[in-house]
Amino acid sequence: MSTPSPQPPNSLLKTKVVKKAIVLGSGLSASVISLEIVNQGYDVDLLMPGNELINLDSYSFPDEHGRRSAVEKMKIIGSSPRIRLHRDCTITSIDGSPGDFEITFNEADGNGSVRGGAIVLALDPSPSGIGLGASVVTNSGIRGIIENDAAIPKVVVFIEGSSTTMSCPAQGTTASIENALSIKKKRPDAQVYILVRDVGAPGFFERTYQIAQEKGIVFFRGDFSYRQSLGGSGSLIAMDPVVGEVNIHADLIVRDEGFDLGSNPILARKLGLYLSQEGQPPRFNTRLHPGETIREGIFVSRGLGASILASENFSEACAVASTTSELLSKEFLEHGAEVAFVDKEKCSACLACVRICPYDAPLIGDKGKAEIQVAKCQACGMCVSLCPSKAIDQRNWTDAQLSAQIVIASKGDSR
Amino acid sequence: MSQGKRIIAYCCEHGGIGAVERAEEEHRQSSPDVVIIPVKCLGRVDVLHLLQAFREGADAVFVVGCLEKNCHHLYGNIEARKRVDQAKHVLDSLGLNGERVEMFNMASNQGLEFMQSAEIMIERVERLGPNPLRVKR
Repeated sequence: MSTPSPQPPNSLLKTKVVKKAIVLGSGLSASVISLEIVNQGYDVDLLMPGNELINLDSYSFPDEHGRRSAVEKMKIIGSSPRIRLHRDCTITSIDGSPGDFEITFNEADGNGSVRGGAIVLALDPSPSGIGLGASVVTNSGIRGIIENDAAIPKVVVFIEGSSTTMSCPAQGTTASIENALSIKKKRPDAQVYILVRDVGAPGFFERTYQIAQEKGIVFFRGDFSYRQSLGGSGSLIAMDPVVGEVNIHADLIVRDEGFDLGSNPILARKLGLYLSQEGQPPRFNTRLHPGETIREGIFVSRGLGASILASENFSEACAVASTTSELLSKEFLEHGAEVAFVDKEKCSACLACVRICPYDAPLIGDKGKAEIQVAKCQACGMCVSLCPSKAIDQRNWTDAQLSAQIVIASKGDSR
Repeated sequence: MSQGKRIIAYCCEHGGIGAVERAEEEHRQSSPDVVIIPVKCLGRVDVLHLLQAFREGADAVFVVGCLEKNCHHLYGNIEARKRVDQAKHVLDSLGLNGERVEMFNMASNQGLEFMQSAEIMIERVERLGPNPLRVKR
């Protein structure tokens, strides 16, 4: 048994949360998120890349009800005193820590700066098909092809989620299944495949999913890769856990909607987000942590304006808004219980920690020694085990604590 | 003293511990020879930690992390695999068998896989015998 002894205070840094959110984007999801956050009682600064808030004509709604509710929401957002609109924004710098960010930007009428407790990214959707070779469209793109009676290719592959982050789609596979069924209706001899880790067919959509299977749409529940042959044409390799590898010569690939931070790497670097090869920021499981990124205080919504089901647009936007409000509802954010810290005597400023950190937390300070920024450290401990001088240790996960556990566990007689 | 095997499992908070908890939920019988040491991320596990266990008398050590590309901290499991490979080399050169240390990747819902990986290590210890460092002491 251990004897309790006084412990050092757990929190090193206490940030007072600024009760405002900063939303980047101008589409439908940006608008819905802003409205929802305002409904929770927090002010919103909406930084728009363009001039106009939203053009509803560019979105397809499955029914009149969806369009009407969107139009009503747009009316509110234009007149709400709690939402400040900034037009034609170019972001110049992002400072601060979770709970108190500061963004400076150039807008249509001069320079500006806003402070907020959380940043929400809700940028426009674009197909994230880099490296896939075949022609790639989003679900809204294929919708346009179907509605305009354009020629539908023979082999169409829907890919859900991203190969690098293995995230599953937020609301499941509903949009892809609907589109796949429309393709089958227009061109019965088309071969349609859906690659998805986890089929999500909520509620009565289960019936549609069943019909899709009866119509001959093939679902692969597994990973995929893309192999380019010498002739330039490529083939998609689907790895199914049951049937194994299957080669598909895809004419058209339909990707998940996803916004393209890849074309804006400067913004990504300023936000401190690490991008996958498809230009997507890494995210946690969208069902368990909707909208959260690896950075605390920065939230992301997939560009969803063009998804087929209005319910999907709104529910993801609401999920992102609610996780954001949850952070804003706190009075203080405390950091530091488990962060790494540097013994400056031992540090030789070799930059090993600076290079390994996924969160850019360590930096070489004024005195030429490494320092760990408390607000950025997420306590993974990679720098601790890598440090060649053993100058870094982790609060409450110290080497001494770990080695005490190892000694007890290795003795093996206490049982 | 005890005739039981001494196997240590380093489990990361997200993949490994999740799998252990899932195995408990599924009422899978876990071996008493396996002791679990939780860590925040497998990136925290150093070669020193792996080797210290053998010096203290453990028969085998395995580390359980998230699936590759799915690490909560982006590449902690990749780092851990490098450390495990280093430890394997050290063990081989010491004359202990490098097979005594192994790395497994699993998702937090793979309780069965965790039990299987524990079985693999138990089977290896049965084949290789107890840690020679412990016998001599």
